[in-house]
Amino acid sequence: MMKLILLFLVMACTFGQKNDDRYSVINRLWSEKATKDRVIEKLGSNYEKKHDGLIYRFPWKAIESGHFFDSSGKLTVQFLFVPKERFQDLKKAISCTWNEKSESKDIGHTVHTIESGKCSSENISYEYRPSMLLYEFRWEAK
Amino acid sequence: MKLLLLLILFVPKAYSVECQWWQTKVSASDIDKHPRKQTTVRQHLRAEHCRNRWKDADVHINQFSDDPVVGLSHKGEVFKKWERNEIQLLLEILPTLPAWTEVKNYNFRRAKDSMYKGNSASSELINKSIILYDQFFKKRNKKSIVVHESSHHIYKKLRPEGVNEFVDLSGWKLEVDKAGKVYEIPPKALIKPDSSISKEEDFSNHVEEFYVSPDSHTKKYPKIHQFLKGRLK
Repeated sequence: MMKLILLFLVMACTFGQKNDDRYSVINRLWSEKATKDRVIEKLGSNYEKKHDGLIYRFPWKAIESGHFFDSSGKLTVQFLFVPKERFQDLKKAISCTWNEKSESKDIGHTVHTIESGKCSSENISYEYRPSMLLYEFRWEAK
Repeated sequence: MKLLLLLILFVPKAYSVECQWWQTKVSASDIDKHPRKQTTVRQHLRAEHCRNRWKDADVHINQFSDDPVVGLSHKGEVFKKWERNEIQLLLEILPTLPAWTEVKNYNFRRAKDSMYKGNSASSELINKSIILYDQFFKKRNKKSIVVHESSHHIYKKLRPEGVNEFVDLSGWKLEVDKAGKVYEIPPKALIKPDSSISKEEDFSNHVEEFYVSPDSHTKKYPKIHQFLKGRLK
C-alpha cells in the first residue's frame, strides 16, 4: 500500500514537472540558437516535418510547438502553445521583464480580452488565442 | 368598540404584503391538514405572500443592468434603460432554456443598435455580459439568440482538448507557413457563413442549431451532435 502511495506521489510530481522542464528546454534551445539535431535530441523524435521545420503535438493531437531554422541551420523562429494553467510556468521559465497589456478585441460579435506580452531583450512575445483557449509564445530572430 | 373597529379597518392594510411587478400576491388562506411524503402537515394558516410570475424571476430580475459594459469600446453603441415589457419578455424566456446555457451566470445589458448592421446581440466575456439591441426585440427567434450568446460564454468550458475535438469534427485546420506563422483555416462547408469568423462562432452556431432543430442537426452533423450531447448537460 505504502509503495502504491509513493508511486502515486512520484507520478503526480513528475506530471507537473514534465511540461515545466519542456518549457525550460524550449527556451534554452532558443538562447543557444540550437540546430535541428539539437532540437530533436532535446525534444524527442516524435516530430513531424513542416517546410524546413519541426512540429510537435499535444497528446490530444493539436500542434503544440514548431521550430524553424535559417539557412545556416540555426533556430530562427519557434512557437509554443500553452494552456492557461501552464502560462505562469512558462513565464517563469523565461527570465525576462515582460511588457504586458490587455486589450478588448471584437471577434465576430463577441468581445474578448486579449492578453499579450513582449520580452524585447530575448525577442519573445506571447498572445492569447481565444479560439484555441491557448497562449501562443513566439521566439523570433530580429 | 371603537378600538376594535380601528383594528378591523387598518391592521390588515398595515400588514399587507407589497409585491413587485414580476410577482403576484397570494392571499392568506387556511390550509387543511394534508399528507406530505411520509408525514402529515397540520392544519395551519398560510400568510399572504408574493409568488414569482415566472420561474426564478426573483433571481433573473437582478441580472438586468441599465449601465454600459465597463471597458467596452464599441463605437457608436448607445446603452439605454430596460423597458418593463422587455424585461418581462426575457423573464418568460430564461426559465425555459436548458440548464447548460448557464443563463443565471450572465448580466443582460440593453443598447440601441449594434455597431454591426443587423446584429441583434453581442457578448462580452470578461464581465459575463450579454448585450441585446433593438433588433433583438424585432426577431422571432429570441430563445435561439440567447442560446447562441450563452454558447460564447460556455465555449471556454471545452478546454483546449475539447476545442480540438470539436474543430476536428467541424473540419477546421491549423496551417503553419514557411515563416512559422500559425493560421486557423475554417472548413469549406460551414453551418452558417459567419462560422468562418472563429471556431467559437462556429461552435455557437452549432449549439444554436443543436437546440433549435435537433433532428435536422443530428442528420446533417451526426458526430458534432453526439459531441454536443455529451458536453451540454
